[in-house]
Amino acid sequence: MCFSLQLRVLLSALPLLLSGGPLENPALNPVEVHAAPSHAPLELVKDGSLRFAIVIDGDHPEASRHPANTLADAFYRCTGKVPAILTHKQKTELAKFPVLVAVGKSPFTDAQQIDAAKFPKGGFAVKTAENLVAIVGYDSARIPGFATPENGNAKVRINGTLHGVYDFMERFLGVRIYLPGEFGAVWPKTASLSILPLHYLDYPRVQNVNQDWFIHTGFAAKKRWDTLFGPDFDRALPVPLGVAKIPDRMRIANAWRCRIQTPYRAIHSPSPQAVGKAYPDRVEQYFFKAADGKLYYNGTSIGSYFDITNLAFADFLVEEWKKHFAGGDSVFGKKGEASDIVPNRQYLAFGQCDADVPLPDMLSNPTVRTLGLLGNNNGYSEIHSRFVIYLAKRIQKEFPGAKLSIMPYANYTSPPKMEEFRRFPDNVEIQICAGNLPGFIRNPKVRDGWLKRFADWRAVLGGRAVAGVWLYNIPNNPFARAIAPEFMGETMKALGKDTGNIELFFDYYGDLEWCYYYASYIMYRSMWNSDFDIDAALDEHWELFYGEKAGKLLKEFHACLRSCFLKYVAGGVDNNALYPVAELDRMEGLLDGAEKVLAPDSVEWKRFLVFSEPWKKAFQSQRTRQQYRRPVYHLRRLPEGRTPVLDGVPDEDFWKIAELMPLGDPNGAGNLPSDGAAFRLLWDDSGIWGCCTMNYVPLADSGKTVWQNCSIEMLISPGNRFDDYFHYAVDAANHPYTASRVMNPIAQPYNAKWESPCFHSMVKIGGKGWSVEFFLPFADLKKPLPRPYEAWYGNFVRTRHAGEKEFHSSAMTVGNNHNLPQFGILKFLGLGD
Amino acid sequence: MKKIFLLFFCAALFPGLLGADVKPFRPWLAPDMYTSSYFHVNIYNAETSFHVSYAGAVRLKPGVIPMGQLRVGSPINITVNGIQNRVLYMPEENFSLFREKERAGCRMCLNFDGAAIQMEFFVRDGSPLLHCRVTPAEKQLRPIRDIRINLDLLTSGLGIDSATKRFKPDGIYEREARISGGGVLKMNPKWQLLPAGNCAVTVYDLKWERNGSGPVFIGYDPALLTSAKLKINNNYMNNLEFELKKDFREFVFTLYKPRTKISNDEFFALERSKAFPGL
Repeated sequence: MCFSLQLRVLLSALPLLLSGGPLENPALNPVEVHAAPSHAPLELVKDGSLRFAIVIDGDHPEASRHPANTLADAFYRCTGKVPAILTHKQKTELAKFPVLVAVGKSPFTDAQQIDAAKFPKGGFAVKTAENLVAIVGYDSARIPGFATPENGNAKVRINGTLHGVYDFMERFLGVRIYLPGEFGAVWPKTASLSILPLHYLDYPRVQNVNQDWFIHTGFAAKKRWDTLFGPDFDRALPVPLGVAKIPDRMRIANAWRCRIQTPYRAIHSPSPQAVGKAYPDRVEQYFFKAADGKLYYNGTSIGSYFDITNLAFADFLVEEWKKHFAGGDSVFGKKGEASDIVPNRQYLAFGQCDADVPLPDMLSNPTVRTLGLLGNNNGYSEIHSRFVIYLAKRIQKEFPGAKLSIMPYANYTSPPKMEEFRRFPDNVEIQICAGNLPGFIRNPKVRDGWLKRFADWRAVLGGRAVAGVWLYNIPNNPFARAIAPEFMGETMKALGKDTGNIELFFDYYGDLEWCYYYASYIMYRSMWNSDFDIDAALDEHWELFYGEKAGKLLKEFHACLRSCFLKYVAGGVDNNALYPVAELDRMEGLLDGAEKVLAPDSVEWKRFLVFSEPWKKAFQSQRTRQQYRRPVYHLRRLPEGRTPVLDGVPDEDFWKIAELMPLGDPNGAGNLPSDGAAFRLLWDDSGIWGCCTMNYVPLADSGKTVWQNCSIEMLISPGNRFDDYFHYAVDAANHPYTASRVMNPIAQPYNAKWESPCFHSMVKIGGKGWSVEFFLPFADLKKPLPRPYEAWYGNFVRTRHAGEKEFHSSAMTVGNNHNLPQFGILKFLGLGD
Repeated sequence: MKKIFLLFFCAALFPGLLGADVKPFRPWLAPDMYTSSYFHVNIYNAETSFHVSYAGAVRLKPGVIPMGQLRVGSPINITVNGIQNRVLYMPEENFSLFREKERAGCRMCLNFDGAAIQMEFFVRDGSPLLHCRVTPAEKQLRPIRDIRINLDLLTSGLGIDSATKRFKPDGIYEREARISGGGVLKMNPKWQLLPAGNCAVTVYDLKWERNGSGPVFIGYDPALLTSAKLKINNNYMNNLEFELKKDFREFVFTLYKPRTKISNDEFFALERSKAFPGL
């Protein structure tokens, strides 16, 4: 190397050395740096011109096509020039370029002795050589026979090279993809780019981050986001003719490193409807039936209620899997094609869904009683474990090599205590549903509880770590949703060796909301490597994305959000904690300040509109809640001798004496029903009579459930002690729904099977709207009749699915209709009042 | 609330020495207490003034019944057919102010599940007494089978102990009550039936005069009562209860309670000079 070349190398390296260089950038994934080869810097861009071509394997061009297109797209956005994509066979064309960027395995990378097959799954290397930059990773596309049914469906792919390309884009071009759309990413304008000799590797620490559904939800809520991102924001960014378009949802998923590298999945499977539909004559056998004959299956509920006390149901599952693998129809899919990744020859999944049989019915089950499965103060863990062990042993025999994937969930997240269930077979993989992680990991009591539980599960698994964790965002509270995902890395580090590396699943508990993109961005990086420095990434982002002045203010805003979250939400284990007014004032001031320093219509301004989308209403909601006084509804007595005719039309004169019960924003954000809907109630010694009139044409599909149609709900808690409450609903197709829950002296599971035989309702749908009349009978409550002037609690809800989606309630229940402490008061008035 | 403001302006049209007006008022509410109706009225003449308030409130605390209060300084509890006024809901339209030639005050209709009564609190020109007139409402959906009026009498002595900074404890009082004809009843935690013809009671404290609230005078017409009884407690509260005849047409009682600290003798002198009825 001549002196001038050495000097050039030194000078070009100087900024990198001073700043720690791209390989040490703390805002990016930490990488494993190897000894750099010796050669001159590689000038990829000089004076605005590209000096390189992208080269891929001519024998397997499709294996690297998408990573190559992605890199070409990035250079186009940063330089305005589109790099050529050539195969290694186009030697004449390749010779025209001083530098080549080899993407994916090819003779060029083979020549550098890069053996990606030896990398960890999904890993990649970036290595330079004389006139060459190689980006190559462990790709399933280069593994013969990978795409077989044994490996699940086509969603299972290993994309090491693509991960390498995104890493390269971020590290050397300075690209940051925070949001979809025209202004959602930072594409630094680049007129020169020189790469020093380097060699580094990285790989995902967890195999699966299966977030397809939630990425989809971010793009599905068009109405919410179109106004901020522009119409049809789920499109690809414009590219010159002949250049492959990269749809935004794909770009986001890849940039955030979502991946499914192994055919593992923990899921609610099979669907109860599939079982009920395929075997209507066996519904009573496979679904839980209480001692009093009550069957826990109604054909539409998403709750599974499979009878896991009945081991014959495990035998049934085995037979269905056999049919599936034989290519026949089964409850898992048609003609052997699974609707999800599972079942496959490696993993067979079983999971109940969102349903707990109420304790009294479970207690009276003969098997449970005989075996003493509920005598350990351990929820339903013993019941669940007994079933799992039996099923796993059947699988060992019938499907050698396959594993059973299950989810400790709901009231069976704890390991079993009974000795006979304390050792699960080796073919069981579990994914624990950690309900309040990652958000509450800083709460010592919560953290210690989970650490103990995970360690105990490890013992039950014979020393193997749990396969995965199903984590959750915090629902409904913007102040929590904006922060909770941040603690993903910290959670993984805390769980340590007791958590395996197969899957992390983050359940947003709602949609992916772009306004909290910063929380998602750093969370997904932490799901790649829990050592990712989330603070460095956030620190870099504020000024980069919003400019110096606004960035500083938003950084402070975020710091305030985080400190309040830790103090009041995580500290108090309160999903909907109220923040002090002074903190709200401070945050609101910072947001106002940022808005003022941004130039309208600038890119930063557009980003700010997305960022600030939830906060105006969130502040209003907190302030309204600070001042919340329980609404008092004066329930007048029905005139003596009169009885409403339940025809759906509240046209009798006595309805006029009923006080109007206004509906409001359950979050206190001030949204009122667009049609002015309100309830009216009257009472007599037989029960509460009510009506609700709504001025819009409802969604009233008789094939849909009460929750899918437009509906009203009535929740009442007799007395003033919150001992229990009763839940009634009726939709516009007049489907009734009744449920109840006992809260005192010991809270029991919500009983969706509680029946109220005397509950009646009638719906009338007219040309411009619909109305409901209903009767809530006291007799079914099995409570003393209310005395005149007694007060009960209540919450009345209207949900609209037609046209405008709306959700309103009579009490400010902060998004949870069942939030008893927030219920309003129903005061039963006397005769003549 | 519009109606309340209208009443306020009406009262303002008749300024002078006799009147009643609505005062700005928000009742004190415990964190678990809710109200939807409340009124606070100042009734006055040249010599005196009384505050009458009503708060239809709901206290939400396990084990505690819904509770509202009618107060004339201290609470008045009316029970009709077993229903206490403190659980009622009284809408705005059931409340009004009035000013006539010689009297001014407020009027309210209390409905006890169909058995309704009307209550008027007023002052008369030239008298320091507050009058309360109770009549059955014209329209009844249920008959009045039973009606009792219980007055909590806050007599001398209630106050903060300067040493302990707490309310004075029970057992430190020395109470008496003077009844018609000069008879005296001693302190007794049990109900003492007042003589059939008795028509006035003055409760005072021998030890704590010039402290706290001072003596209390109640005058009434015994002809309309089934019984009248008094409980003179050795604590801050005394109670007087009237049981009205169920077919009563009108019952009036009068009340006087000084608003300044006053000795027992000064109070008795005032009773004589102003010719309080029934003494």
